[in-house]
Formats: sequence, C-alpha cells, structure tokens
Amino acid sequence: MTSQLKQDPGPRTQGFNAVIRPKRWGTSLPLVPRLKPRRPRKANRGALWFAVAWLTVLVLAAVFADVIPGLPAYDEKIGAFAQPPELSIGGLLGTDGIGRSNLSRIIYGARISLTIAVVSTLIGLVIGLVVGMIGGYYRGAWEATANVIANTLSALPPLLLLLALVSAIGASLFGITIALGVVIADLYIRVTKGAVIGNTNREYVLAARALGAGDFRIMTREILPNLVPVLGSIIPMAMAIMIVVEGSLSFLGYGIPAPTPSWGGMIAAGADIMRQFPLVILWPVVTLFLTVFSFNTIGDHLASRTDVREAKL
Amino acid sequence: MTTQTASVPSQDTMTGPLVSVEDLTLELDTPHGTAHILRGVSMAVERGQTLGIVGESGSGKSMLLRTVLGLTPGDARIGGTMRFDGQDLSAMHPEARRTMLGRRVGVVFQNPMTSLNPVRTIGTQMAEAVRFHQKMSKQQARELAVDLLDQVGIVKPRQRLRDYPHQFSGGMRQRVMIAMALTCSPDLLIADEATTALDVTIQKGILDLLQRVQEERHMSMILVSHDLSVVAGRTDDVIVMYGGRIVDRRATAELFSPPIHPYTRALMLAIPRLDMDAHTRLPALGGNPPSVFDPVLDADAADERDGRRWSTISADAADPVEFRDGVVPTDDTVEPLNEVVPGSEIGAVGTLSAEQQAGVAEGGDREVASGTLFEEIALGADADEEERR
Amino acid sequence: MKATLRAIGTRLLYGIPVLLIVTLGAAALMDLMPGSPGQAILGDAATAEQVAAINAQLGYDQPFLQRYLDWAGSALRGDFGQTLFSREPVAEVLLRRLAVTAQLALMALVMALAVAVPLALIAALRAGKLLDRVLGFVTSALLSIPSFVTVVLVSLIFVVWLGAFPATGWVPPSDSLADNLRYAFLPALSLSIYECAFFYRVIRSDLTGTLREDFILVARAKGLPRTHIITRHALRPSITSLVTVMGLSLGRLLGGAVIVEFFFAVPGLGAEAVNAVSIKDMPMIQGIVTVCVVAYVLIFIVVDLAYAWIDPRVSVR
Repeated sequence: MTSQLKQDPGPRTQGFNAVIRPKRWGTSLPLVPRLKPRRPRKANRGALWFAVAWLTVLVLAAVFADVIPGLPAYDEKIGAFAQPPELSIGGLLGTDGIGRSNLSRIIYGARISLTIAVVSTLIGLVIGLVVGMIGGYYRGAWEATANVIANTLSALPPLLLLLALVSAIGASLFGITIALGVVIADLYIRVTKGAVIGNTNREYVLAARALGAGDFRIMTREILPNLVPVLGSIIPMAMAIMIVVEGSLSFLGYGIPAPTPSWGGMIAAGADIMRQFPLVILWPVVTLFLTVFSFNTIGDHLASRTDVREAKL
Repeated sequence: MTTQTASVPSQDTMTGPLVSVEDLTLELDTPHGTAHILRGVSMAVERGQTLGIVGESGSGKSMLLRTVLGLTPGDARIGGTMRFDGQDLSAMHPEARRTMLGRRVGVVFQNPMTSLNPVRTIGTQMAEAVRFHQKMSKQQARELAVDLLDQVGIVKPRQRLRDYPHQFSGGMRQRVMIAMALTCSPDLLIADEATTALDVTIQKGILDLLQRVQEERHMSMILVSHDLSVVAGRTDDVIVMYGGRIVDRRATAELFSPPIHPYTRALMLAIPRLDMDAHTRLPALGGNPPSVFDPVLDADAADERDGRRWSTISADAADPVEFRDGVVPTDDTVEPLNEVVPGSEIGAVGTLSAEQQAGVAEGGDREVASGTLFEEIALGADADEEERR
Repeated sequence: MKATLRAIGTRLLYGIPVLLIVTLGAAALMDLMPGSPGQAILGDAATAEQVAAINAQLGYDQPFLQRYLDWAGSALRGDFGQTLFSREPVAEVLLRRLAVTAQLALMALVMALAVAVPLALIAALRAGKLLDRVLGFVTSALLSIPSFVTVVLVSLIFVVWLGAFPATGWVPPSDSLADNLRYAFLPALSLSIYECAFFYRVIRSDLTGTLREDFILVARAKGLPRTHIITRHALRPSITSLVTVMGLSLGRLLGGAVIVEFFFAVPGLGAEAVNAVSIKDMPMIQGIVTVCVVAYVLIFIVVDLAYAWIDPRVSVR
C-alpha cells in the first residue's frame, strides 16, 4: 500500500488567511481593520442605544428646527417668565427668566453647540493629522517641532488661551470654533503622532515603499486608514469636551452673544434665579448632560471595540 | 548545599497516590456558549513518580492542572472528585485549598518572560511564598533563596537577589522560577510546558535540572508538554489528552512499542526524523478536535448527527475505518502492525468537516509518508483541500 | 544619579523654548485683541488723547518686539512689572494667587485619590459584577457633567439645602485655618468630582489589565492571600497611567480652575487670568503664562522620574 512520494509538493497555504495580490501597488488588506467581536452586557447596550437615539433626535431637531410646527422663535416672548411646563409645543419645557420658550431655546442652542462641536473637531483634526503625521513619519526635526507645538498648546491653560483667542478673533460662531479647534489640536497631534510612529515601522509600510510608493501615498493610503480606530474612539470624546468648553465660555460671558441661545448661556442665566425657580436651569443642564454623556458612551464603546488586548483566563 | 525532601505525607494514605482525579469535568460560560473543557478525566500521580501529560493545544492539559490547583476562573463549574494526599479538594474552602496547595505544590509555568513581576526584585518574589507559608524571617528566607538559586545554577546568587526579572535571560528566568517553586519544599512539582518558550538548546538544561531536583528531593512531578520528546525518557507514565479527555495512558517505556493508540501514533509520526528524505510530507492528523461548545457527549448519538464522522486513521484510504468511543472494531481492514488490542479503551478522536469527508469518500490523491518502522498512514484531507483550491 | 540629573537638566532646557514661544505668543495674541490698556482703565468716556497718554505712560506706544524684550529682560531679573489693574508687583500677586489655587488643586487631588483608589481596587477585584458596572456607569456620568454644572449642583446641595458651607468667598489659612478649610471645601469638592471619576477609570482599567498578567497567576499558585496579591503585586505596575493623569490634572488645575474660582469668588490664579484678559493687563498675563509653563515643565519632570521609580525597566533618558 505504498504510493509514490511526490517530490516538491508546492506551496502550502493552509491557515494563512490574508493573500497578497499585487494591485497597482500595495496589499489588499482591508482598509479599516476589522473590529474585534464583542457582545457588550445588557446595561451597556442599553446605554449605547440610548446614546445613539438621543443624538439622532437632537440632530434632527436641530436641523429641522425651523419647520417644527408650532415652535416659537427663540427670542420670542411667549408668556410670563419662569413658567412651569405646560401642554403646548412652545411651553413644553416652560419659559426662561425672560419668558422665552425653553424648548425652542434648547433646540436652537443645540444647533450652536453641535455645529461648534463638529466644526471645531474637524479643525483640530486637520491640524492634528497634518502636524502629527508629518512629525511622526519623518521623525527628527519634524517630530521635535510637532512636540514643541503640542507642548506649547498644552502648557497654556486652555481657558486662558480660549479667552484670548475669542477676544482677538471675536465672539462669533467663526471665532469660537476656530479657537476651540486650535485648543483641542494638541490632543490630536499627540494621538496621531503616537499612532503614526507605531505604524511607520510595520511591514506593510516597508512593503509599500519597496513597491515604489511615494511618501504622500503611504501616508494617505497606508497609514491613515490604520489611524481610524484610534481616532474613532477619541473623536466622540473630544466632541463632548468641545460642547462642555463652549458651555463654559458662554457661562463666563464669552460665548455667542445674546439673544442667540446656547446651553452654557442658559445655564448661567438660570443659575442667577436658581433658588426661586430651579426648573429654568434644569432643562439646559439635563440636555447638556445627556448630550455629553451620549458622546462619551459612544466613544467608550468604540474604544473598547478596537482595543486589541486579549484577556487571559 | 542542602537537600530537602518532600514533607512527610499523612499517615493514612502512605501508600495511596499523591494526586488522584476521578471523572473530572470542567465547564466555563463564555459569550459563545458553554465550553466543555474537561470531559471526564481520571488520572493519578504516585508519590515519587513522574507523570507526563501530552496533547495538542486546547486538549485540556493545562486546564486539568489548573482545576486541581484551584486556579480556574471564578464561574467555572467543576464536577468529579479531586484528591491530594487523600484529602478531598472539592470539600475544602477554595482559599484554604489554595493555601495548602500553594505550600505543597510547586508550579513552573510556560512563559518565563511574563511569569515574574517586572517591578519587584527576584529576592522579594522568591521569599514571599515561604515567608507567608512558613513564617520565615526575612533573613532566613533570603538565605534559602540564595541557596536555591545556587542549586539551580545561577551564578552570584546573593547579588542577583536584588536584580529585576528583566535583567535575566529566558533560560535563567525559568531557573529562577524553578527555584521559586522549590522554596516551600513541595511534595509535587508541576512543569506546565516549562520549556516550550525556550530555545531547544536551553530546553535540555532545564529538563535535566528538573529531573535532578526531583530525584534529590523525592518529589512527584508532572511534566506537561505538547512535545513527545520532552516526555520520553524523563517520565514514568504518560497520559495523552485530546479534546478534554484522556485517550491513552501507559507507562512511558511502552509508549513506543505496539499496540499503539492511533492518536498517539499519529503524534509520533509527526516528529521529523533524520533518515527521512528532504521535503518529506509529514502526516498530519485529519479533522479537528471536537468543539468545546458542542462536543459529542454521547457516542450513540454521534451517528445521528449529520455531517459528523469520526476521524479516520487507517492504512487503506479507500475504505476508512471509524473509531468510536469505547470500542475498537475487529475489522480486517486494520493492518496487523497497527492493530490496537480489540476492546481496549480509546477515546473519541475527532470530527471531519464536510469537505474533508468528501475528500475521504472520493479517495483522492494522497500524500503518504514512508519510514521503516511505521506503516503508511492515510493523510488528513488537508492536502486535498489545497489541491482543489 | 548622574543620568537622572542629566535628564532633569535636559527637560529644563527643553522648557525654555516652550516658555519663549508661549510668552511671545501671548504677547502677540494680546496685541491682536481689540482695545488697549488705556481704554480699559479709563473707560469709554475718555478722549483719544487721554487714552494715548496713559498708553504712553505704560509704554504701550513702543513697537511690539521692543515691549516684549523689555519684559523678558526684566523678567529674567525677577521683575515681572506691575499689574495695570492695581499697580501691585506682579510677582506678589502671582504668589498670593498661586497659593490659593495650589491649595485647591492639592485638596482636590487628595480627595479624589482617597476615594478613587479604594473604589478602583474593589471594582477590579469584582470586575464584571454589579458594583463594578454601577461604578462604571456612575463615573461615566460624572465625567459628562461640565464643571459649571457641577458648581451649581454642589452649591445647591451644600449651600442652599444643607446650609453648612458659605456660598462664596475666601479666608487665607494665615487668618484662620478652620475658616479657610470651610471656604475651600466646596470649590475643592467641585474640582475633585471630575478628577475622582477620571482617576477611578484609569486605575481600574490598568488594574484589570494587570490582574490578567501571568505573574498574578503565579502568585495565586503560590497560595498567597488575595490582599497581598493586590497590594504587593498588582498595584504598583498599574499606576503608570495614574501618574500621567495626575500630572495632567495638576497642570490643568494649577492653570486656573477658572469656572470654580469664578463661581465661588475664590481669589485664585484662574479668576485673575479672566480679569487680566478682559483688561489686557499684559504684565499680569505674561506672569500667569510664565507660571503655568514653569509648573507644567516641573510637573512632567516629576512624572518622568516617577515612571522610572515605578518600573525599573524604564530608564530616565
């Protein structure tokens, strides 16, 4: 029962999942690394769904604020001041210290807060990516420069820098957004630089170089996609911070000027009459809290999904 | 150089085995379902004897030891009985059990790079067990540590006590682990894949050290490995594990002589030999171990499951033989040299995937390894899968 | 030892360009802001000549670079000038205010640690059980509360409902230690809530990671008691993240817990900063900025040294 022993059997690819198929150049590894499968426990899942739902509702309300039937303008006096909630669209959450609709001000305030959060995050992200990528990829003097920039930004007390920038540029949507973007850039610079340094020495970068890819291509097509998981988990948290900081600015009086509503401003105003009329401050506080909490929960969830450390029994 | 003997065993069980395990089962709840990790394991270690445990990854050999030592995760479900020196371990409170076993069993784990706390000195780590269990003073413990380090072959042991783990090489760290395991003069020494993470050249030194230490102290020893060569020549008995069960159990001296259990034989055939030609395809056992989530617990029910068959091992590819739990067929298709004594106890060997079954049925082209001592054996269907791709 | 000193020296040197850039940037930023000190001091009613006169008096008619170098020169000699606001020496004001802010910062950190460390230990031991999940949820929620809301809530609870603490104000410890603590408690508490949640999460996460390490299994196999394993084996490798975070927190808190000081009328660095920016008090601003950068550099030197102490594998570069 002897068969001939075959010589030179041929390549064994058993168990090797990724196949290298040369395209124009580069490997066909998935652009976004696969997330580790995870089944979060019930309570966490509930929190996650709530977070997504809340943010969706908020965004929709903010975008379609103008067409919500029956919603009064945010600077329109609809009744006596500090009225408790009643069953009308405008008066659903009562009125503020001047008699304006709380619901309306919160929704329009959401526009401000969300816009600021998104745009400033983008600004910070762009700055961070550029500086961090260049610094992390080229190392040497570039990295030192990136370090100096990041350290300078973080050495300054952020609120101080913000106040100064806002005073300089002007307390408008534009000014505040830019100021916030600059202040948060330091976080993105650090994270990007760290991730880029970690990735630059990996084999796929060497492989791409060997195939003749230029630096820019490597940075954008190879390294950048691998930054997505890391960035994906801090972006929501950074947005939460942006919302809070914008609120702080308004609270201190440096935010968007009245009568444009912003949550921080509403809280500041409500704090003045807190003792007699606690409800007025309640709504913006709760809304702010839920929004920030939602961002944080989503960020947490993304962070745990992309964490590759395996638990040992 | 002091030689310490194992502590005196309890009077009533002077002649009984040191460790005995009966019908041990271990289940864990995981997000993917309940994992049946151990499925009715029974074994014993005699005093002064060395037992080898062999098996592939996932066969349950490490978990078997951890179950006995009480180191399983909190929500594990354990069935069956375990005894140490006559004492029923399941009846003991978990903390009390760990304390007792900590003193009387020394364990050397697989990975010397991570088994030591990187932020504490070797000296503190070596001393803490004996200071806790035997209430030794700092001074005494230090002397003991120096002595043990010397015995395991560490030079300048007194200075080395103040060093940190990262200042030792892998092999030396494993020696430190061995010394650490000996501090309380245990009755049993367990080496769980102790040499797997080491260079082959260092392996021999560590294994020799373990043997020497055991002889000097008259300890019992358990050597766990997936490598048969580690176990051969260094153990008195050997058990082979697969899929959470023990499939073969014999004295080491008889391991290489027939009758040989098919799985054990397959393990041995997978060892490269110098007298084989270059590029010889080593036979790989077909199929996979039974899934821990859905192992076939009932041999009769196996037939009714669709798509499942027992792995086939036979010399005749065209007419595969099925082995099932408990019974060996007395068919003629089994070659005489490969004959397993009819009626002998063997365990479930595994399952074939649907593709592999198809390959078997087709009787496609097969690679066979030849050697003077062993018969040809049908290769697993992996080869067919490759060709088909 | 020499390596350590050299490392400290390098970091100090490295701080110098940061200091230069920051102070220069601050000066430039102030120039970009509308208005001038003359305007801020005299108000809107003043005429242009009066404003110009004040500005000349304060040296504001000089070109930018000249002004900066003047300041830098004096600063190196220890003279930070006088505040535009009250003509006090900046250095004195700085020290006074810094003491207040530092006291709040330290109190907050201590309070936060005292609660976070034990809770994190317990939670890590019971990872996945009810307590751990509840605490995880609670800390997540706490981290979502902005500081200006925290101060309002703290005030509501302790001042309005309990009436046990004063609403605003400050008494220096030299006057009365007991009173000082009474006034300092609420601001410190407000600050500590966020830090506590943060520390808790960081410690717990590191601790659960450490408890999965092999050497913990080895320690259990040795039969050592649980408390021993936690305190002597698991704790030390787990505090590296905590040390970093504490450094960041301290830096942040020293930079002026603006909201808290503003709300509780505490005469600290943050409140002073807001004031200074609003009236373009250049010497004061530069002084504050200098203090912040110096503190930042010093804190991180300490943090790096702490790393080396915790983990002997880390050498101080």
